[in-house]
Amino acid sequence: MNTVIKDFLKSREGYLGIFCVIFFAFLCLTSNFGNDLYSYFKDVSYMLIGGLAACLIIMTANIDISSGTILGIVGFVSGSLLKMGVPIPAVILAAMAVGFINSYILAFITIKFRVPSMVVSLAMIKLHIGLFPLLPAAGRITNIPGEIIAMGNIRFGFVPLLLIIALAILIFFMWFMKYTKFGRDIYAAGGSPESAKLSGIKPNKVIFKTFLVSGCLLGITGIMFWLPSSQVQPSGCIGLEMTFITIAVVSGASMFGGTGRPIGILFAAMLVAMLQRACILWHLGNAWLYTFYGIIVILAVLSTVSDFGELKRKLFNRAQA
Amino acid sequence: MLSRLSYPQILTIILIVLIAFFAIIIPNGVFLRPRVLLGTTTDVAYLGLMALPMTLIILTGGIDLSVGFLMAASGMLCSMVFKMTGSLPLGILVALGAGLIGGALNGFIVSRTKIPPFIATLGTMSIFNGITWFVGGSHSFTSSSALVEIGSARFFGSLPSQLIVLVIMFLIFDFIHNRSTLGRYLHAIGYNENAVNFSGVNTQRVKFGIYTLSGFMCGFAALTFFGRSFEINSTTGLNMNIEVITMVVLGGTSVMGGVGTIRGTFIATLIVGVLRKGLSLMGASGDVYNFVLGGVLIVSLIAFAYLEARKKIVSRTNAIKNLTESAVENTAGK
Amino acid sequence: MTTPILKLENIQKSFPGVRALHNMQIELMKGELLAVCGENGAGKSTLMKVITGVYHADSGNIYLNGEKITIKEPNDAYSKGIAIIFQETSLFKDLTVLENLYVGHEPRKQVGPFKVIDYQAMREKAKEIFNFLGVDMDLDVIVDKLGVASKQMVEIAKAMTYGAQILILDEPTAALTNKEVTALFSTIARLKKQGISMIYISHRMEEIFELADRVTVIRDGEYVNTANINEVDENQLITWMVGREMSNIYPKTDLEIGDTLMEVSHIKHEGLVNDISFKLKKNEILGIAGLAGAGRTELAECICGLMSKDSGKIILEGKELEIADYKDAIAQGIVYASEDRKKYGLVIAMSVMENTTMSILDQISNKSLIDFKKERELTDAYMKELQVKAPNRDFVVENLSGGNQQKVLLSKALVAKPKVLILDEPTRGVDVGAKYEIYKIIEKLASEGVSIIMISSDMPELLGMADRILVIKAGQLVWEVNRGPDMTQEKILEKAL
Repeated sequence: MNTVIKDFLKSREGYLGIFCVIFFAFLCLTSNFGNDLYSYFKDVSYMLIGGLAACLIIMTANIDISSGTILGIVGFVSGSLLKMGVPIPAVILAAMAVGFINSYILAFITIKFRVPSMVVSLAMIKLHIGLFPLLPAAGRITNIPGEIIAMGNIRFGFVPLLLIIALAILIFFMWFMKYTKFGRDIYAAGGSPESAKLSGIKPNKVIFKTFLVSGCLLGITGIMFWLPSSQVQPSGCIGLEMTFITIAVVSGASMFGGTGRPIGILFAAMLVAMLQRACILWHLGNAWLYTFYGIIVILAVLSTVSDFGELKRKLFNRAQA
Repeated sequence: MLSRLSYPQILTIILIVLIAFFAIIIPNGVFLRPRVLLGTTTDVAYLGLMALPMTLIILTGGIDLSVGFLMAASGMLCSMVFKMTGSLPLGILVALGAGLIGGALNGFIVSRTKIPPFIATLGTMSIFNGITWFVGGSHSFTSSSALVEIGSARFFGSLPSQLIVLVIMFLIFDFIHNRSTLGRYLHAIGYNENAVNFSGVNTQRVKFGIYTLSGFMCGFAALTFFGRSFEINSTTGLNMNIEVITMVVLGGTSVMGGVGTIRGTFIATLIVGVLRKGLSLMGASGDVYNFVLGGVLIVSLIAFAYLEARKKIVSRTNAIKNLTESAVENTAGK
Repeated sequence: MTTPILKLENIQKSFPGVRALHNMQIELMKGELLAVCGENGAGKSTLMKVITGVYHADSGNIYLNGEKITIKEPNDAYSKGIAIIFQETSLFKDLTVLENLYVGHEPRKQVGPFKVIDYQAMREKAKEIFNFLGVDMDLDVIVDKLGVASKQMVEIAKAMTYGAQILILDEPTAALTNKEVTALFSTIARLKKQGISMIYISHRMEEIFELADRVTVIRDGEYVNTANINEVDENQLITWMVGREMSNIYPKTDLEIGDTLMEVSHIKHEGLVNDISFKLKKNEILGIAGLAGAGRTELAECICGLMSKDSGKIILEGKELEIADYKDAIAQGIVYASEDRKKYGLVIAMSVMENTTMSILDQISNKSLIDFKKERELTDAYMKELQVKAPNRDFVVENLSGGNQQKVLLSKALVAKPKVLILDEPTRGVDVGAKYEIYKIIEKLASEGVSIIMISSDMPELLGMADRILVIKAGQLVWEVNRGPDMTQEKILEKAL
């Protein structure tokens, strides 16, 4: 057991975890962060699932930049249904269906025509944003019944129900990635499609399915993002993709595919949500938040792509000379 | 028949059909009035200026997602400096300088690290977005009236200055692309960067150069942007990168690298301009334009993938035919 | 006579413009080790890819235990008990050994409604397999951190997890040290004892004679002969492989060797090239022999600035050169033609002309504007001189045959007017006819005063062409031999291994 903990602390996730705790303590000591842990954890909930969705895509060496704007459409659909009195489980299914369809289109074009998913998802952003104003009332939904908003805000002390659900999903995925054949196939198809083929895996099929799973997760993310608030404003989710991608790359998923562990998402999401809170608490505003995101993404990716062995060798050589 | 035409020729036909369509559908021949028709370019000139270097970048198999926010940041810095000092030349210098520095940052990350271009520029895009907030917060900036005047000037009553700038820049880029060693290297890098390195070409420097050029052109585009829109704020650059990339992809440049022309991008810019103006004259809102543009991007991606695949099949069949013929010749010779 | 466990007959396979396999046949008996040998490009790898379902034969039959089968994809081959250990490992570098062993066919158990991967069973089976192979292996280490030899063991173990009865080893010793080779051989012996049949691809004679029961020789994609190993000797095999008397395929003339042109001294690159010095004379063809991974290519890259060197000097015509990158080397007349023409040598999607002039584009341009007329003239001249068989200069290189691609690569090197020309595997993947033409070109260059360094794994080629041969082993220069009675395949191999 001891070695398990030791190994964990030595891993990337371990460093993230330690850093998370330090940052948490620092925030509590320097601001009134501790007083509103509830809002913080509410943010963590949707970021966890959104980050997980982005991470799955990145593990297949793809990327989905439209993962923010799709939430606007998810919000519109689920908000309308809620107002019509459709029961919540059905609404969740509908939200997942919206994400599913969106990802289906994205994955179909990406895989069938061998176009980079990055460019296809750029086009999807335009489609989403173009769609918002065409929706009734520009997709804006107000007057959501109070009991539904209350449902989104069920809490146990400072722990929101949403966080518990998000954690349950995350734990399911930790298990899923390790113990199911599909989970293992994602690593293989993302890490090296050629080798995967030789092992009898059809990489395109696996990647396609991964997109679909990610789409469903985005549907859930949408519910978690909009449910606790009193209204849906689709344009409010523009830019969220940056948050999700930041979480995914901080968690250690390599842009070249094949690596990434759901446990890393937990700490990455907690860190990024803290950063967001910190920018508010310290009155730093969007300027710092965006700048931080940019720098963090670049550094996080740098840490996964760089060959530190080579770097060490060079430094060592220089020191010797 | 269609396969005999070059891609820019096909685009030209699309452009003419589109103009004809709008000329018919919009009453009173409004669309064909020189002032309107030529004016379509003022909406897209600044995008076209960024699409030219973007073509070079996409030719190498890279991409620059940061263009929109870099343009906005340069523009805002320009008007801030102008407001503080009242000196227009200084403002222009700042805009160009800011673009250059931003582009150099992209170039540095892309050429010196192993970070893939799309994620590197996604990161810098966020940073440049941060800078627009630092500079302007939620305020809008206006520019010097001189810049606005130059930008919105029309010669001979209808020829917009923006179109002139765009055409000049197009000619320069087209010349570089067709005639210079750089153009050749860019295509080669897009196909196989290793082989270019093994030809004694410093591809890192080439890549650094084009990303820096892209940044510089963002600064330049910011100056012309004032001629169209009097203000600039921190949401100006949002999703502008998609419009620029759409122009390049519609222009027939392969996102996989290697294939593409500046000419195609230029005509695609005109097409997008016509589309935008035509839609707005038809009474559609800007959001319809957004939607249509997304569709155009997807359709051109698919169409181009299809055309490329066919081209490959044709050239391979030719090759096999050719080899069989030469084999027959050889045996006959013996 | 018993039925062979695996039998192929009349296998045909063509690629656009190339006939890769023609009337190929092979018979593998239960529990035997069949060596398949042939020169580079003889069709060994293609044949193995047909057996394992990576490629589909255009025609021909495959029988397993006397029963006709079709193999659609690699997974089919696995399920029928046929597995291959590739030259480049096909492992997932970010996964652990245990995960790698079972990718694609993890053992699963029913837990409630789910079929769940059974790590316990996986681990036990994996331990069993490694015991069986006689190898000590940490199952939880990430594969990327393993050495080449261990990776290979993981590959073999992976094949065993499929219950492979037929194992194909494709040049397994290419990148191994002596000690690792010994370990591999003992594992192979264990496998054989357990009744596993193996096809062993190699062109190392002593390995074939040590391990094989029978040997099949193929040449130019065609079957040549099969013999019991104790009925043939090395010369016989080489004759079969080459297909004609060795002496007359090399257009070697006795040239007067000139004075020293280039001196390379104490080149070092940590871990790859260890303190190598040599001299190169005018008109000389200097061969460099050694195993793949011995540091030959790296030495060449260090000389011409494609790889940074930790220390060392290069002196050309008495002047020490400052070579920071390859551009400097080209400017000084040192030109390198890569071993991997598709990856490093050429941009195969571009035209013959664009490739030919790629490295001298700066020289034929004025203020970086290309002089197209000059470019066309140069290309035409070299296409004519090297007899590149392409319809025109704008023809895309991808659609040329291997030999003509190689000639384009040579044109690209020659157009830079080299004083020293480094050719890395100049005839790899080239058919025999084109090989001869390339040798003629090399010989002509030498007679015109160009000094040539020829790196090759094709031993007969080196013996046939080189005036002097350097043998490199694990980054070190271990032997140098002049043309004469001492320059034999046996002696060179002995030093290289």
